[in-house]
Amino acid sequence: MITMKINKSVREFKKRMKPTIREWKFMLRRLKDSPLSIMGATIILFFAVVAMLAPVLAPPATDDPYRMPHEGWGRVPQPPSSEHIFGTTTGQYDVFYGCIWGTRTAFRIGFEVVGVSLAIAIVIGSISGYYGGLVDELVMRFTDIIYAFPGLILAMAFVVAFGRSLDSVLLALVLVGWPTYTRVVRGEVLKTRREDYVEAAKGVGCSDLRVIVKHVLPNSIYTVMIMASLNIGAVVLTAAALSFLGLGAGSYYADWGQLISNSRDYIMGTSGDTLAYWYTWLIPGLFIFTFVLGWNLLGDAFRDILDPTIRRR
Amino acid sequence: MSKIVEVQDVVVRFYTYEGVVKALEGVDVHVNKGETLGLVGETGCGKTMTGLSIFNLIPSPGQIEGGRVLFKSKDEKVRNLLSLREKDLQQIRGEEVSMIFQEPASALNPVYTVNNQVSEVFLTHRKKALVKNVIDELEKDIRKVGAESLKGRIYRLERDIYRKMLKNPNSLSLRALSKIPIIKRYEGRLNREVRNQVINLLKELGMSDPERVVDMYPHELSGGMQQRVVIAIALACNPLLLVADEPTTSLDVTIQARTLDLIRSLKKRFDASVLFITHDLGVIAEMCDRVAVMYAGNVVEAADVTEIFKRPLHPYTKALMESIPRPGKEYKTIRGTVPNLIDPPSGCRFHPRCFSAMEICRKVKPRPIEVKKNHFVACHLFNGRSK
Amino acid sequence: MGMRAYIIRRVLLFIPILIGVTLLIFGILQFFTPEERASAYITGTPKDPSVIYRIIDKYHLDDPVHIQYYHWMTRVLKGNLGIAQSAGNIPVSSALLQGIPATFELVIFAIPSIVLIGIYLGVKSAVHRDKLTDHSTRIVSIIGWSLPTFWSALILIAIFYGGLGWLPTGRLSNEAYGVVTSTDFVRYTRINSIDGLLNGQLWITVDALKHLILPVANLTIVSIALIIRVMRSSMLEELSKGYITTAKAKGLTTNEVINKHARRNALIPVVTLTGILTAGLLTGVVITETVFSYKGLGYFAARAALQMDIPSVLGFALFVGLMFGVANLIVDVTYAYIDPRIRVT
Repeated sequence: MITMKINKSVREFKKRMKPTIREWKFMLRRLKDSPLSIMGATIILFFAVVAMLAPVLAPPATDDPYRMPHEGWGRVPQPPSSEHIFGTTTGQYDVFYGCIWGTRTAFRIGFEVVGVSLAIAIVIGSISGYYGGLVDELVMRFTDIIYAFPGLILAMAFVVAFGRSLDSVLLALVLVGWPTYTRVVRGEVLKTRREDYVEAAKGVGCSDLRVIVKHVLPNSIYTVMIMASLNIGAVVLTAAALSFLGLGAGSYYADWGQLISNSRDYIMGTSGDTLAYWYTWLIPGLFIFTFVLGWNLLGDAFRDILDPTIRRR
Repeated sequence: MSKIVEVQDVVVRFYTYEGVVKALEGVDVHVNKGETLGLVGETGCGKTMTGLSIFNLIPSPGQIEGGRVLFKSKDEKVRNLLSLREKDLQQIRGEEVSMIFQEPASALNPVYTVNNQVSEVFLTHRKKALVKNVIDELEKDIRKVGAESLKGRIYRLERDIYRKMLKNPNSLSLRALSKIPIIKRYEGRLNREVRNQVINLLKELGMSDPERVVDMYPHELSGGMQQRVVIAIALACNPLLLVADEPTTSLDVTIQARTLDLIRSLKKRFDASVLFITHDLGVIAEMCDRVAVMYAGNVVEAADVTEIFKRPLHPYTKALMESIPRPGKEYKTIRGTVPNLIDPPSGCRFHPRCFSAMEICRKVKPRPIEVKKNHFVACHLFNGRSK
Repeated sequence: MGMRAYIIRRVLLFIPILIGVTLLIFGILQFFTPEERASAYITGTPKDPSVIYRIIDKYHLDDPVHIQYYHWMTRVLKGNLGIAQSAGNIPVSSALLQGIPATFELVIFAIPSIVLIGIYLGVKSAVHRDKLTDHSTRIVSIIGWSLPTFWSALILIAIFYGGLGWLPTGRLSNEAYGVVTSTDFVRYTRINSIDGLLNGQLWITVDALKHLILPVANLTIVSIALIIRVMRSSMLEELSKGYITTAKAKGLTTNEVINKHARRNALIPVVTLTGILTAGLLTGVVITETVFSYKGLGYFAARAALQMDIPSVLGFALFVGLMFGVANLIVDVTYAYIDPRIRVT
């Protein structure tokens, strides 16, 4: 009896989701065709594997794996050797270790910032778009004010106020990022709330919350979720910039931007040889670049697929 | 009767992600000099594409894959427009054939004034005549103020620039001059000359207060006035052939009537031939001398307008005529739906919906046969009945 | 037409945003204790703690929030943003003013570089859609967009300064610096390339320009992707519109159709982009100036951040917020100039 009921609801769910599933299938097919997106996906997959294998590739020295190991406090970075494959930074932090565990940090920064920004945006955006009026005005003015600042600069101000730490960076990036997603959600909600099926739901007596969650949101969050996941690259770039400026977690923390920031006095090399300490910035920078590139490639492919003028050609 | 344009066996295909759309599959139609030919059919039957193929302006991802478009130019020579180089084709477009579009609001560029857009046609095709006028005017002015006075010298300089324009319109020095802001003012005379022509043209089109309209932007005009501007653009250079693609479909009914009257009177005044594309049989009856009926990318029947209405031969045409709603008559539709052109029916594309379909209709595509004088049908029912 | 009315309306809308910007910075300031905020106005740590309390009193740093805001705004409007300890204990406002000419010079060359190259490549990509030009431009711009600004800067230095020795870092060569700071040289604008011309010393201008090439290149590489992408998709959209067929049917050449008709309409969203572009530039400037030792506002801000010089960082943020607001205002007005339909809204 119960299994029959479950089967029935599964079938009904499948039927309801059929057009959505068809859309996703169409998108995935288009994605497979695009070499750029395959490259992007491969890159991200590679980093995911590295992140997962971190404890194996670079065994932590202490309880906190994000504390980079260092032998001594020597200021001069050491070139790559058999002991330190990628060399060391100022303070003798192992670059290889930092790069491996920094992968985890990068994923963490990307997902946490985007995830929280998205959550905030969905809540505030849908309320703002759905109810309109004074609430909407206030939210819009608020986002206008945040928009009045370039992202990194406002983030700098926030981190300076909150104090240097990884959490400050995360919080600052969320504060700087939520308006963009909120506006998109709000826009979509504004469009959907005029649709007939929303009026119908209200007419039948559904509470506002139910209407929003069940009817308005599913159609509105499509775009913004894709947009958000593709911004992960940009978020990681900004976080790296903040670390580079010395506003990151601290010299001991395994983070790509932090690695470079540690050796800031040496990245320009010596007066004779600019590349004297190339390993301190070229390698971590390469990690950052490739990681962001992977997300951006995927993002570009997605954008093309979602672009209505190119969709059904 | 001589033909002004003849579309022969034109094939147009669209290459999309979902498959190849066989939009036009060997279209044959011609317009005689001085007549109005109506091209009628349902949405998607290919009438607009037929019109565009005359200009070789099929939008991507479409391509013209075969056929010829024979056109008799103002110099009495007959050419295949599809084989011309782009440069030569550009001289014919706007000057000898022109188009009136369905939605005037999107046919006009929103960021340029009416003057700008209509002038463009004059400047593209009639520059020499305009420059000559300007030079004459300059000569008069030089005589008035005296060749040696300060003004006279300036005018003589201008005149020399214009003479140069006459000889070599694209010379480097002219183009460089026109980019320098203050010197650019020499173009003022030319612009004024063109502007007057534009105002006169708008007056002829019955537009009230053309001096004001000329400086307005398309979004500031009503639908009917926008359409007049589109018509002005089309008729500016006295083209031999006017292709009107559903020019009144997007207008209010009252404006429709006025626009149709306008087209009719202009056709007479400018002595043009018209290819009138529409899905509205009522407009056909009012405006056209001859009619060609299209279905799913083919011309199925072509005859004089009275013949088409009174004695339609092709099953599709007959069904169309019967489907015109009339008070007291039973409401009839054509069974079935318009076919998918990616995978069209074999043989005659109408056969799945045709009451008189035979075995051969499924296999062989019917070619047009002249069954009566000037009455062509593409249908196997009439095989062997050619005159 | 509605142009003047539109401008007035936009300016009026601008004012509440300006106030909002100051409120946000003020809000961030509230994260600090009154003692911490007081120390922003003195140089170094005072031997006598009562100095701090006198400042708290004088500047009303411990009063109710709205009174604090009033006094803080008065100070700001008078130009008192505190002391920049990271910049040698000069007032923050002086440090900002000092940095403006250098950053202005950089931005003034960067913007046309990014915009013109971006528009050109965007148009080319749209017109030659899906062909080699399109694909290669897209790949190059995605790469550019993914580069960390400091990393690309370091690579540029390694190649062009360290490796090839073609281009230098900093703002001026040593000799040029010597001349510019001497008494014979009048620094009218403090923008070296212009001052060089005004003083009749052309080689100074050339020197300044040579030093600008790498930083401008860095900013261009990192910022150009967005312009290209938007211009391309905007152009593609315009090219499929009705008036393009009209233009072609008039007998215009392909170039005329693209450049006269399509491009002007396609530029409209790009103008909006210029606002975002400026934001990206201001961000990029902070890092670029640091790596290239180009002593402008960005350099000042980065050094302040490193040393946790709070009044400098916040003063910089406030300044940037205001500048950016003005930039957006200009963008909106330009938008209305290009697209006459906007003037009605």
